[in-house]
Amino acid sequence: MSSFARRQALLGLGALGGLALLAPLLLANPYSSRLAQLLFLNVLLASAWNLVGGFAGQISFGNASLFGVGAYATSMLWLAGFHPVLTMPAAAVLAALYGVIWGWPCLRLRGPYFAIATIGVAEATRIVANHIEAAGGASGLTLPLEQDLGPVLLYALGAVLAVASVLVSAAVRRSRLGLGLIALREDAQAAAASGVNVARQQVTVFAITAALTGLAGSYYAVFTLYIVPEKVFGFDLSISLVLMVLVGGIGTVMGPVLGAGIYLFLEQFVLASLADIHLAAFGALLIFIILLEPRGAAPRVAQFVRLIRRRFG
Amino acid sequence: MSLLEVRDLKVRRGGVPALRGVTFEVDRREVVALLGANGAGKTTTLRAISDLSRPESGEIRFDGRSIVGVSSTRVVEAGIAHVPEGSRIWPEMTVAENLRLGAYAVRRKGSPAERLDAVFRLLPRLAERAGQLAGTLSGGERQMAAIGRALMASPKLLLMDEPSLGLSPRVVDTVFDTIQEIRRDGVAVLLVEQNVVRALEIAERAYVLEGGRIVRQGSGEELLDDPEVRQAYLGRTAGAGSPGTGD
Repeated sequence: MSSFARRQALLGLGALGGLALLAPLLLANPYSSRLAQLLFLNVLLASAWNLVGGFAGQISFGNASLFGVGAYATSMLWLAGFHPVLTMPAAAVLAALYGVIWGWPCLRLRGPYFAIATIGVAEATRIVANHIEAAGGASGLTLPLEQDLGPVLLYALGAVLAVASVLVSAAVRRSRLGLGLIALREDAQAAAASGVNVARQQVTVFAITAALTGLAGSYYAVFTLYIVPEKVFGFDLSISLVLMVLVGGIGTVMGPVLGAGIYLFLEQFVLASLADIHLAAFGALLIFIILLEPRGAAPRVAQFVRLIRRRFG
Repeated sequence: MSLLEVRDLKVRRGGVPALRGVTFEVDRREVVALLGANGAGKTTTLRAISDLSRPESGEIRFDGRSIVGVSSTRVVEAGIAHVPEGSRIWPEMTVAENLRLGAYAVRRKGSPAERLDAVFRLLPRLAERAGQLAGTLSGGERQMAAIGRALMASPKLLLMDEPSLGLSPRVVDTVFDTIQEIRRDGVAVLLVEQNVVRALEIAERAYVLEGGRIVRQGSGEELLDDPEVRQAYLGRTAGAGSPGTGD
């Protein structure tokens, strides 16, 4: 095992240990355990989005299509009698497959053209899902409440998924794939001249994004026990991922984690009272961030951590 | 058989013919210069070989095989590396990462560590700067990093687009010395250069492009003595070292 892999494994175990210590606090009541689940979900989603949005620089507004596939895969298999945790690999594989099917052609586009194509795909997916009667149509699917995994297992599952997504993100960042993607993002022509296979690198990373997003959909189905196309394939969901990553710091490993936390905090405590206009409020926040701190919160936090270390370490 | 054979190459750019039937060749271990004014089609020729732009018609053979329409990744794999104009290194990455990217397409050709050693032997300055962000390098060092990056692909042919552009005379000397060392290591070089005198001094052969056609060819010495070439690129006084009119 390389020293990087060893260090990542230790960091991962440390993070899980920390989350285990926090568990009694976060599992104190149903509301706090739901908050923890949402936080894990957001971290997973934002890290996944950042792989293609941050490292490859391809901004997707269509990740809900992948999320929905994962949510439906788990729900339908669960209703068919499989244990929900066992349906998760299937959800990841199906979402990755769907991602490759539409990512292959769409990733040939760059910048705003790609972004618009992803909106089209996700909206088409949502509309089709509304009409598939075998999957409950527009009224969605209700999952067997009596088989609820319970807060402790859901917490553990979410923690493992969230930590794993961050480790995957760090590994991609350092890998040959990540280096090629960043080269591509910074100077596509120089990358092509160096022999970086533009199409293949992007499709590969998009498959990873899709698999993780599918897992997020699966996890969501398992803890909410009720899914409808308007929610799991919804445009709001796609937008929220973009916001989280931009707020936290696009193209960094810890940015999506920070952004996921900030988003959840604002959504639950600040914007709850603004109800219907919360997306507008978020739009304003986004403009504010892009004007004042275009690289998001992550560089500032890193600076702060270094400062603390120098003072006390 | 030549290493690179280009036959009747035609390329359009934005609907306008940029190359109107260009034919030339590069032999193994040979430095060939491609000269001409702005817009004559020099960069277009290099880009067509690297598959960064698609030809309309014509044939490009490398090592006996056609490479027209072959992806740029495959072109690098086949043994052609490109040093683009203005170096085009990644400023936010370290020198070492830039070099690693040069070997991206050629995972099967020996170990990257050995190639890195070879590049550092040729360009020792890069070894000193390996951990530094490439954006902090001087202009000459950037050009060296771009050359090193291309050499990481263990090419048989190096395409170089204006490697001396914007560099101080002393650094230009280093760049031309490096090109000669690269040839000594057995790599052929196709050189597009605005510094016509220096290019002709080190080139075995050269071609002059004008309006998308080759209008003159010969050995470096012949062209250096050609009155029309002297007049077009060196000025009437024919003094050495006056700047060319390249792009």
